Amino acid sequence: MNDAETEARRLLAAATEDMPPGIGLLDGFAAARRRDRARRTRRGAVLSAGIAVAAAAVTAVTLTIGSAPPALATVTSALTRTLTQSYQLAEQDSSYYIWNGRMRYPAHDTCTSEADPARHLAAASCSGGVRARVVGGYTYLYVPHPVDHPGRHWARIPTASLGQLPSINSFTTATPQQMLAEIKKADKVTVAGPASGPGWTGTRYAFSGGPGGEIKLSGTVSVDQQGRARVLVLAIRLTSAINVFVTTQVLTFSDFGAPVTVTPPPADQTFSGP
Amino acid sequence: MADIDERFAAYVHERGGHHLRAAVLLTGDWHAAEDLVQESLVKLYRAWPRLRADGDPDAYLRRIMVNTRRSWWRARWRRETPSDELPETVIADFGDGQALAAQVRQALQALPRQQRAVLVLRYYADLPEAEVADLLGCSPGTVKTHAHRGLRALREHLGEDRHERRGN
Repeated sequence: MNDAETEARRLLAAATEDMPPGIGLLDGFAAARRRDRARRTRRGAVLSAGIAVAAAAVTAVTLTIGSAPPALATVTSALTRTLTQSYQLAEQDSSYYIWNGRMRYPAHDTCTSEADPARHLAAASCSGGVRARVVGGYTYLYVPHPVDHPGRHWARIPTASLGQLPSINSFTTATPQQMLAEIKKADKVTVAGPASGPGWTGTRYAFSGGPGGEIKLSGTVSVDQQGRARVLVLAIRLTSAINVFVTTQVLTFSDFGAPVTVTPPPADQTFSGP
Repeated sequence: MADIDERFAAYVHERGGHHLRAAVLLTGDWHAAEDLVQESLVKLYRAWPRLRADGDPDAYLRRIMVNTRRSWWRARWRRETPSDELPETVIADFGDGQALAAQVRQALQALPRQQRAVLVLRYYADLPEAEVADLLGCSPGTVKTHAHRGLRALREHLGEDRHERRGN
């Protein structure tokens, strides 16, 4: 074993020495199994991952509008309508952890994207450097520093293979479509008041609920007079045995129906990944 | 807890800590590590009755963790991307040991996913190259390359970080 390997072993061991107290893998195991069973049970109703499958997935969600309260029916209808046409989307995300009573790891990110769910097209760009395109059945992810593929910065992944999201992380890493799907499951939706934005007026609805347990969802959906979701504010709070994770996402939709053009990256800049 | 197989519970008590530590090296924080191990344990428990008494649950769990982590990477593409820039996080108020731990994990997170996995499996889990290659679905030569480049990158990241901190 050379010196570098010895040093790596020492550093990696040192990097695990600050394990916080109170982690009980079996303490949380029963809850994790319940989540697993619940997820597998409702799998048929959960939207698939990826912007490109949004349109098909929306139709897979069972909407109980006939028996639902009017506010919930309005919101679910607006969300479904929003995802069946092309749109531009501006997204602001912020998150932080509460650990030992103190705020840790605050993070902020902004993204802009355009999508045409019916044609399975999308392109997104975020302030943190993340870039993605969905076109031709593939999702292309920008990799700033490709290790095995020098000069090829785009990982090409079959969109269908992105699959469904695992457990708790589906709420913190969701695409807009997945967030909307979760909101449709909110157990309480009420009228919060009037809403307006550039060129539109409408009504703001407040929702709260979520799957329960460690996960709390709340927020608002502003619906314009054409019945489309314009602004979505989603707050998620995840409580674990060792800390609390809070994330807030603000999604502003615009330019409904405008043409969307997305082209794949040049073939000589792509590789199959990850 | 009464409904959990006793042999499984004993296994988690004995080996859970080791896998949790490996998970924090892969994910970068204890919250995500706890999620990763618990989700992997749920999958292991599903397969538990089919595991032979002389089977190796460590190997099985390790494979589940690597695959689960890979699916998280796919799910998290909107937020996580390999970067040469270390995130500015709050570590100044940690003790020395905690500061070093956080510093090393930050450096690991700056590495490409596959390089990070190779370093963790080779130098923390202490697996031979062939086993790492099998787990990650690549050749032993690729593992060797990742290990070489990963060690160099880790050293560079930590060196730069120390230098910057001294400069401040």
